[in-house]
Amino acid sequence: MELVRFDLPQDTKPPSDLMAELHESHQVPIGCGGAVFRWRRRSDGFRMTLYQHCFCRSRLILDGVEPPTTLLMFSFDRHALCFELEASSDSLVGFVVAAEEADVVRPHNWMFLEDFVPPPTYRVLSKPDGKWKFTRTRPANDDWLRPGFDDSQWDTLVAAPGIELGSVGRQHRWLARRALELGGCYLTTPPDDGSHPPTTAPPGQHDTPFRESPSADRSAEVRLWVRHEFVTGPEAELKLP
Amino acid sequence: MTDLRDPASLYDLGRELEAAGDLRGAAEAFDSAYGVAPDNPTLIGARARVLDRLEVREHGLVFRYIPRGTFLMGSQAGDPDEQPVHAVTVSDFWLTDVSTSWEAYCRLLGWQAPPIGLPDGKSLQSGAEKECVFMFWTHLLRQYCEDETLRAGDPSLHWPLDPARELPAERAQRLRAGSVSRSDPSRPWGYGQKPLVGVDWSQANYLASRLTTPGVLYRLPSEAEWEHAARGGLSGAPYPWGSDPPTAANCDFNRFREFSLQKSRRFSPNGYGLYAMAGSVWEWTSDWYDAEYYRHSPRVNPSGPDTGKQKVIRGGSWADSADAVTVSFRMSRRVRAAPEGLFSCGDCPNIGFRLARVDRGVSKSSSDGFHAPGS
Repeated sequence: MELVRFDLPQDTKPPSDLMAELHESHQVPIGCGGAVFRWRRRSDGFRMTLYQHCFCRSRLILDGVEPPTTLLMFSFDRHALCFELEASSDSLVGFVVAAEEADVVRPHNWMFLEDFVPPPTYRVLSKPDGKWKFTRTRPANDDWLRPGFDDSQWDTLVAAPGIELGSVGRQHRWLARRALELGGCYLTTPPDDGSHPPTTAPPGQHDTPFRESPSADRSAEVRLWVRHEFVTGPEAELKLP
Repeated sequence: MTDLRDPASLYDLGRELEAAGDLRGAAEAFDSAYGVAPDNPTLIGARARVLDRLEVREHGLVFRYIPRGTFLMGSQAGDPDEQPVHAVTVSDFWLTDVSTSWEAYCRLLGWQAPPIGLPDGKSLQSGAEKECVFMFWTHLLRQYCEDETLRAGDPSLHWPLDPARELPAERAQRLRAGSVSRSDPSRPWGYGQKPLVGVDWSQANYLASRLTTPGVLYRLPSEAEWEHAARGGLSGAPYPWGSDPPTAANCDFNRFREFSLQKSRRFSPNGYGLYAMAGSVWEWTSDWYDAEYYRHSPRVNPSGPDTGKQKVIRGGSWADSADAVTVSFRMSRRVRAAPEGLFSCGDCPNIGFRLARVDRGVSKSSSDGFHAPGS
């Protein structure tokens, strides 16, 4: 097996309504050096590569489904990106998320730059903008995982101060770095929600440095349900200039 | 004189030829009639009967007979490289009813059976560089080619060790990583019902050349042969079963998020008895790819450009949308230079192949097809 980048037909296949996508072995279950090549319609939406890091145990759910890969397919629609977080204390509740529109291979155009039209760029970023909501009460059903759920009564996550990449385990550091580079921000619970367990630093004052810890796996005294709703499409607010 | 556009006359001619023992001629006559009247039950039955009689079973493979015929190649509604639509005549040949499985590939080459799948009896543990090539390849195959596996996962999980002999470290690794989800966990691990994937063109061609004898030529089908076979005798339909768009009930396609293959014979065969000519895996052909080829290709037995860098693959796969699993959609893939002493292994879990078979010296040429009496 030659471990080379998968070749694309863009230099031979004429332009059409279809687009070719390449999914490499670090993105999908294939095996070292493998790649999946697929064709799909442009109107189906677009895909984004997700970078995330949590200091605690987490489960990511997009529109009610756990994504099988870090390449997420988005239709032009409203979406809900949700987390279930478990930690031994609030001082370990800290996560960063950044999803960036993945490379779009446009047959033919890729090789002939005069025809090349850059694809619109979308990003989904964890930010203290009031749009990342959480609750400490288990939702009654799965409606919260889907777009359109009323989370107006939920609390709002805030920026987690003082997090350094050095506190992130080496295995996950590149994910955290990439998420931060793209503009993501570590979020955590606010200092004044009064729910912090007494075993941690004073409520909201995360002077205990965030650090990946095996204790996060041993007990889960803090459980959070987090959701972020956003819209993709030509008029979406997330579309970058 | 037989009216070659009249299905009734062609049917009568087919009956005459069949009675005279000319099964190939009869198949061609019935097939021509079927192209005009695909809904006639009497004709469908007669055609299927003759095609079944011409079926060949060799090397544990089922080869279905594809009659000589003229069809309209390409699609006016397809991509630019599928145009212009043009009439092409191809000689008769046989094509395996399914894509080659990993089990068949190893068996026919005398290799160790899957999930080892190595040539020359070498083991995975020797560490030789060439075996690393195969090791990566077999990691891919174990994830996608096992009969009951529902989803590809960590390659280490797809190694069906005897639990009684499993080493503690390996057991611990499995416990950490999980287990493989299989549709029937009680069944033995098998590798004969799904297509072999991750196949480079040279690997596919290698098997064909190893099987070829002075009497029988095995090879990859040409692009025109592939499309003729995929159409199953239907004229102008975009899919092997007709014009209806594919669904999960008749085609393995558009399942990119599931990372798995379905069994080759899960869905109904087309009119020639071929399974999964749409979806499942892309299939190699013998032709070089040229987007402009249809504008100047020979109208009889076209065999592709003389040179090129990419070979044509056809049929679409489990990962592709409905637009790419039509009988006319064209795709290409680079042919790799083989490492010294080896062919190159592929790396895509959605590319496979099936073998064409030609009787040397007795295949009906383009000019000696059936002729209506007195025509």
